[in-house]
Amino acid sequence: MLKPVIQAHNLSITLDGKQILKHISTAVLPGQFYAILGPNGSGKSTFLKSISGLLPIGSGTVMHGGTDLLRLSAKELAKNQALVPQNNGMSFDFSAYEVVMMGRTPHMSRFYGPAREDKKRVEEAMLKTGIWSLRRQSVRTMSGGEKQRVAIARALVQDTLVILLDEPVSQLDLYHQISILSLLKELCEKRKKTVVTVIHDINQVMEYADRVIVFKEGRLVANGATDKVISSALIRKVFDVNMERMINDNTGKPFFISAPQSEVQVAGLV
Amino acid sequence: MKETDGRVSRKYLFAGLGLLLVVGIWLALSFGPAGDSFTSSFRLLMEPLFFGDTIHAEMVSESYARIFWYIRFPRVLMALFTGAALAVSGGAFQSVFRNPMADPYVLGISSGASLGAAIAIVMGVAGGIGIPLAAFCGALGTAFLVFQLGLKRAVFNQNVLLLTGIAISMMLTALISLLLVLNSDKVESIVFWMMGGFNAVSWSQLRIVAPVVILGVLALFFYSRELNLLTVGNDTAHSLGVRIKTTITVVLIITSLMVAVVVAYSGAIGFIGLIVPHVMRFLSGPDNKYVIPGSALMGGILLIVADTLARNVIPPAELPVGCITALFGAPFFLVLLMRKQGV
Repeated sequence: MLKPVIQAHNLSITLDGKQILKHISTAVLPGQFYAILGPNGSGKSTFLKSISGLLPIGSGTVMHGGTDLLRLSAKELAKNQALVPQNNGMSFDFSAYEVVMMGRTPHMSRFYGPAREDKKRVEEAMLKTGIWSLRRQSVRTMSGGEKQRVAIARALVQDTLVILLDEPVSQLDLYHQISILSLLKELCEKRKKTVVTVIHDINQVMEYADRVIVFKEGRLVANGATDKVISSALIRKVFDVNMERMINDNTGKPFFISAPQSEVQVAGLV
Repeated sequence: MKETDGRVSRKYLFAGLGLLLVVGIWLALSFGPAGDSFTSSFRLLMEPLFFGDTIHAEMVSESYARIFWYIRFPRVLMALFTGAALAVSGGAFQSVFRNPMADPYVLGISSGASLGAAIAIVMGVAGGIGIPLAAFCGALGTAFLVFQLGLKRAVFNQNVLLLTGIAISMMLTALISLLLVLNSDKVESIVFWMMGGFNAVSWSQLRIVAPVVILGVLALFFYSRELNLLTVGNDTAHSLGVRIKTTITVVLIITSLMVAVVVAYSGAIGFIGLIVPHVMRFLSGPDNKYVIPGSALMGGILLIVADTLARNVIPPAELPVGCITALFGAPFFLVLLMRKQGV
């Protein structure tokens, strides 16, 4: 039995008087690619932020590798996990290179500039995410997709065991969606990293995720192996849409296509 | 697409600023209603270093030397420290609030100081430490009130703190207006104080201002890495090891103390704190490791030059130094803005 890298026990989060997460108990296993699924407002981002220590925990506990999150210093946490938030806005003209280099902060001394190792890692990550040619460009003036790739490169150079991502491919074109998801998958398989990411595309979940954590209305619906958990019935239950499960002849992997919606569902959608 | 290559070499930039500061101080010391002399001021500056301080009477008149040492010198240094404090505070606030429009007075410090000073003037306090002390208490009291109301939520959204500051500031400004209306005989003194300036600066004032500003600038320089990360967003800063609430609190306390001290003595001088950090970012890029020391130098230089102009344009009258900073600084900044497109 693998020891969880992150474990939430009876976790509840309340923001502005509204309970967003309700009694969540779940675990994240090492070296796995996790997809977090759920409708808008179901608590996916809140879950991601709360396990990263960004939100005050209302009740319950979050453990990181056996240590209570509240006992970890900010710096220890930063060496454990990287976060790619949804919003990567920028107020000043930092270049892409400078922003990616910020990812090395937990490994760098306050008083010295980046070492050769830091520079090497930044270049590698920028090449892998396809932004090396944009290194001198101001991130503030980049497109949403470019900003997302800069944020992903920054998380990569942080060199943590766990990488948390909030909709990292939502603004990317198809080519970059596939290249980033493949890169994250490769990190899990070859470098034993744990990736936990919010994704909306069900077929990308089927293709890349080893396991899924599903939320609806602040409650945990499921946490388990992707092909065992995701079914037409679960999709109907969580998203209230009809999807038909098919098998890809070439890969043997399941995928979903839209099926006719009932009149009640269509009325709800319109 | 905007490339960041247009930045100036940092080595040359800082060498240039250092040189400008030395030349600026020398020029400022040389000009004044008591007489202009580059050689006298140079001689007076060099004497303690090379000749001992006893022989200047032979070459420079005693009265000129007294004006030089007891009036001009502390005044120039006060302008230097005030400019440095305002520019660095503006840069720090802009990073903490991720808002290019933030200036050292966003937490209502200037209104607080002005109200404190106005109350002291209305109550008949004159000269000595009374008015600066009242201004300092007003400034710090306002910052404390804004912290109390807004800091708890600032961990999630710094705009709450920014808006709290603006609201409190407006309220205090209204109170000042009321005081002005009800005390028409004191209007001139109050308005004169509010416009800011460096007349009647003494060495004893500098003994308070200089250490606060030097320690404040060093402390903010120490936090430059955290300030950089805060500009990218709280979520990212947190995930890179920044303790958001602690950092914001410490930076705001350091900055408020520094601004409160300089405002108490010099009034609320505008423009420097808003614009200098932007000019530094144009030149050096937005890394606070360079923006903070560069703003300190540039803010100091600008205020020294502005004050020299303020007291020499129509002597013996003095123009408010804040007018000079805005009148001459704004067009210069606009030229930079037009050339670089975007702040």
